[in-house]
Amino acid sequence: MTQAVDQVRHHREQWLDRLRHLADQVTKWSEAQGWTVERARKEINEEGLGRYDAPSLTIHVPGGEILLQPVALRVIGGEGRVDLRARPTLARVKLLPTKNGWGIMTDSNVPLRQPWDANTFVQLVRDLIS
Amino acid sequence: MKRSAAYDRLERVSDELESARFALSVIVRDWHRHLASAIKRKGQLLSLGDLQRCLDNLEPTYIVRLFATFEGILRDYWAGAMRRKSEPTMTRLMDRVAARRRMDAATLANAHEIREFRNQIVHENVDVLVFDFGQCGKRLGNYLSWLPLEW
Repeated sequence: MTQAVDQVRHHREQWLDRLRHLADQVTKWSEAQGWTVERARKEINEEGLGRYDAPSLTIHVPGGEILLQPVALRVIGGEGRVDLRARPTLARVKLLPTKNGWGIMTDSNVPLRQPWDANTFVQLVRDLIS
Repeated sequence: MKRSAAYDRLERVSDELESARFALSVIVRDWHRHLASAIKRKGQLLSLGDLQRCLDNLEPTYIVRLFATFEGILRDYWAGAMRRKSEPTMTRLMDRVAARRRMDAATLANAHEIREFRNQIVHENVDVLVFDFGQCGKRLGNYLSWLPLEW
């Protein structure tokens, strides 16, 4: 029983580490563009994992805002999901953890086969907001 | 209401469309596995055709919902920020809010096109989805960007 609880806690901590790293990465890339970043915490309640606070970001970019919002670790067809949403366009892509970083999935469930790096992120922001 | 809360509402409709599309497509794809648990409806079992039709009409159905949510936000602004007690038609409501916020003509015209499209869907006058859900969301979202951060 204790072992199972420890395992759940371990999974959750690993997931939160990835989310913190992602938030730091995106903050750095955004600030390099001169975009203002607001950090907040999003409460997530997942069956089996319990309630936890995950880092979320609002990035103020010319023409709107980009929201980095963790959704859940346990999702159908993947091991974690973070949404990158744009306002006012309401466009979105999903970020899915991969071995080396994050994969990008469009809302049509077609993967965008680009490396997850600063250039891709900046281009993605521009495309989402336009 | 905060403008961010208005966007949250529209995004929730989008998320629900995605969930519904996923659930229906899974059942349609594995129909034979789900056949035994098909729910009884007026003494008849649901057919694969019922579910396929539902799946085919999902996007227009959710466009109507998206627009209804947008309308609710505008009526909240009308009553709360503009302190009006009347219940104008949607055309008039969109025009009056746009005038109040000095909205550019293109944004207003784009949103009106979505209103007209919603009307066509409601009156079952749509053969082709001229606008998909994402395009509708973008145009209505752009309209809302002219509202204040809070009202």
